[in-house]
Amino acid sequence: MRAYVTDLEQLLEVSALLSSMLDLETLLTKILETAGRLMSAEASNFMLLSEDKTHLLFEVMLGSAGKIIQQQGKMKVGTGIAGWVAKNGKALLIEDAYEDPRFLRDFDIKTGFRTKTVLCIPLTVKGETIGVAQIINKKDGSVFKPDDLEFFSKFCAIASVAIDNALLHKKVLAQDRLQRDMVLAEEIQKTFLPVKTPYAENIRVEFRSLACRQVGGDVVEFAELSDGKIATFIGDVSGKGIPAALFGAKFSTEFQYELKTGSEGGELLTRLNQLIAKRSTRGMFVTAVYAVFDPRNGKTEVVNAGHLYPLVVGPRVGQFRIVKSKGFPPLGIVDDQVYTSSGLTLAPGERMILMTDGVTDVKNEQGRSLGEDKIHEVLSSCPGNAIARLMLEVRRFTQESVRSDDVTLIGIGFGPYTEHTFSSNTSAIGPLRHWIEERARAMKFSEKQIGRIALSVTEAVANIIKHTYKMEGDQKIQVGIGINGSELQIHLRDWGAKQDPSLFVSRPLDEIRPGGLGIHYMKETMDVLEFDDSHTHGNEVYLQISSEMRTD
Amino acid sequence: MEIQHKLIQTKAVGGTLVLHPIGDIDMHESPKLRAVVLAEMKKKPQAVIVDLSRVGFIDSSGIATLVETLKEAKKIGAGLSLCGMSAKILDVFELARLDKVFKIARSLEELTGE
Repeated sequence: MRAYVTDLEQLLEVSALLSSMLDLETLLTKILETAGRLMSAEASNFMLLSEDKTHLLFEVMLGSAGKIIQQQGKMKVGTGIAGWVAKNGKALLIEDAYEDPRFLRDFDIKTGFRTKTVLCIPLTVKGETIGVAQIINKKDGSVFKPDDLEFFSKFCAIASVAIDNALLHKKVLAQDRLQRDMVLAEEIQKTFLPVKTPYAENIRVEFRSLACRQVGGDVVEFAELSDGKIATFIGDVSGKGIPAALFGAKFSTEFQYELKTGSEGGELLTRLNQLIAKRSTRGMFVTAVYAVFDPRNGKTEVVNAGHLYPLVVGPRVGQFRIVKSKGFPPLGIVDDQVYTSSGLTLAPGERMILMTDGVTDVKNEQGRSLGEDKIHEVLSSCPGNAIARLMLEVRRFTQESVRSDDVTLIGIGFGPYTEHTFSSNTSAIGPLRHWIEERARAMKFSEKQIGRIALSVTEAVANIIKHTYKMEGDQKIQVGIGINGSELQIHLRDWGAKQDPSLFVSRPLDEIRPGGLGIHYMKETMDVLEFDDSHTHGNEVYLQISSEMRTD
Repeated sequence: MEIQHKLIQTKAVGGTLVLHPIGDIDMHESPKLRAVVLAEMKKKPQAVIVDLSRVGFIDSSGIATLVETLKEAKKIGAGLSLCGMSAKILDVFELARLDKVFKIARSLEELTGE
């Protein structure tokens, strides 16, 4: 008769210990050590079923022959004592192994160990066998008895739960690792997106991207060409996830390389098509638009390789046209496809919009798409701030629902435009203000309007310095001034901490106290005042005022 | 007694403190103006006049400085008047409906009778 009270205490102790252990190997070793000690066994081992349930994998083997047995690695389910237990899900108590036809002598022959008496118990979780536990030979030479079997069964029941727990933990760890890899891949992918947009006098280039949950395959490239023109490329690699991202990354490198050979659109895409058609990785292809803009006259060359039609918005509110240039198949499908450019001319105040289908396909919680009409409406509602408006609309529309594809938007505005970067030191506010005053004066704004423009710009810049940069004077503020007919468009860009748009509200005026007036001044004096936090880094404020509309 | 800073001249005429800020008053300049004005207010003048005729620009931080000066003046029972504003400067007060809060005169002469 076993000393049950002591055994029970031991069981409780083990149970507490096991439930706190998550590392599978440490856990299994601990279980076997305890079992071996409690039952005075010579050897003990744990085998877990392989995923396809055809084999028992030797996880932990204790005892003099343990190491040698473990080197065998695994055994077939159905063979040997352990194999029988795994197959039938029933425990076995064997007094003399050599008398049992199920016993395999191979192990003893290989190890020199002499198996006498064996207890073998299936490990079950939720009615399913996950492996077997085995103890072999009693140290005192006696044989195992039914109460040994009962005790070991209880012991293994506790162990099974702990093993299941540890297996689950192992799975979660692997998932975690995969997730970390995905995040890392996303970070790497971001480094392939342009950090800076190119600039040429009279050309304003804007770029926004919203990554989806998975890494995606949107490709964006810009280049300032030697003849003063600006080249832009937007591409969407078929498929999603790591394969599309890797394909896109390789494509970016190839694009930059081929661009050095020649920037003419037709020839460039013909060469790139040959490159990836030859490779034809699992039938992957790229839809793309490549466009080159001349800042001197708005002349634009476009090649469309199976991509969404570019859109041109402005110069006036509500105006837009769709650029249905000659269409070609996506890159990477037809080996010997020859691509050619089509020409068009942007009028001053017009803005070409390039996007990926992540924008058109974006779905809200009810599964509805944003739709082309809505996109056209939003983009043309304020041509000077079209990109930011659409980006904010996409975010508002999707709210918390998960985007399934990357959202990429590019805007290229033509017309009088100058960009200048100032420091975030308060001493830069004066020169910045005078620069804008001069521009406004040249546009024949009234002196009162010029005063109001100076006031609003000063307030906006003061906000950036105070709230975004927390008075740090060594940061950058980029100011872009565009002219669209009688309209002055001012873009103030910072790279500081993201600001909460809801803070962008003015305070009630009946409160006489210092501070908080800035927003009120901007709202009161500008025709359009918009705060835009859709950049990957930093914020943008857009101010617009017409010399015609307001004469008060 | 007459003090001249780069940014501000102050002048005591009898018990009246006359402040003449100079140049643009924005976030860069207003802290300096504020320091001088608050120091002068400690001398407890009977009345305060701020002559804005040499101010070309003022923003909300400049306005905030003047609102604070007004509050300080009220504490010590002194009257505060503003004068010499250009149309542009007056517009900034009007946009914030502060033209009703401050006593605003056309010129310094109108206030001092000189």
